[in-house]
Amino acid sequence: MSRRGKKVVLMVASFGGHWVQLRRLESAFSDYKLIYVTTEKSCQSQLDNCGFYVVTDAALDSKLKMIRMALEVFFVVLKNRPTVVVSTGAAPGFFSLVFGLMLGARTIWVDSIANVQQMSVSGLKVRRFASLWLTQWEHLAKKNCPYYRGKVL
Amino acid sequence: MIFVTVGTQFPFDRLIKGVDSWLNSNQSAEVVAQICHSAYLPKRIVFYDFLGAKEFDDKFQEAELIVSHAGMGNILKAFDYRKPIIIMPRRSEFGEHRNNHQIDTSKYFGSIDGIEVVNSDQELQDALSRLMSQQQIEFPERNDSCELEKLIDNIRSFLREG
Repeated sequence: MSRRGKKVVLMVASFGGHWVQLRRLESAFSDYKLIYVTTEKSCQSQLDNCGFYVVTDAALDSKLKMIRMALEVFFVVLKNRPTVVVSTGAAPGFFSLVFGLMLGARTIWVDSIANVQQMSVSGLKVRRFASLWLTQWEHLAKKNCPYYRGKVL
Repeated sequence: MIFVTVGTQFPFDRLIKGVDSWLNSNQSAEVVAQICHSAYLPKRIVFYDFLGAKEFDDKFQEAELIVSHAGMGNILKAFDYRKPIIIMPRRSEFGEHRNNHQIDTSKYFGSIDGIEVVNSDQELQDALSRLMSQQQIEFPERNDSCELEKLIDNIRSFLREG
């Protein structure tokens, strides 16, 4: 809960395609206070009246950066105590769902639409930390998740 | 103006080089590129390694044609701003990405009007010449945001259940 009493949703995506897709989900959370987390500070200029955090950009090739980013994400989650955590990818989204679930949030993973052939690496790893685990491709959906529930197009 | 963009993760020399060489025989065309630290420095293109979110959107909107790697962010923006777009998928065997998912993305999106997939330098040259010689290049009106509405509705009902 934020100070104004509105429930908080933490919206997390690395910069680029993940970010563009995440922004398209915004209208699903009109009753919430939105807090965005990404890897590029200039994204803030696109936002109106939302919380905003930048975390270190890290991919699988740098363990040290990855640890740093995970800690940064952890503190954002700890400080804001979101009711819901949502991500479209990639690594920062994975950690936000892990920590979010740990601290009692409901977590939503919408795997990037770029992954036509198979779920993304972070998308596969996040499975057991996602309360709602979605693919954006019907042909990748399975009976007991990932589910297909539409796409950002 | 043609806006060339390779995303922010990795450079894409093959694409930048290709557009630059097309300009050798099409010198009147105006091109702006975001090249992400490409080792190849274009000779006939105004370029930036990186553009902030707002500057990027401005360039995208100003352009009449987009040339891009097959990244989802740019493909979705092309839908939003209704810009025709040429996409060249990155290939892992050339060290252009970690895997070949952009080839899969291209196969799907290539069938949509307004999106042109090029897999080689020759195809890039041809597509640029063909599109730029047209009076007007258009990205067709689309009427399929129902998948997005469905996704939003589903997330909403998931939240209500909790």
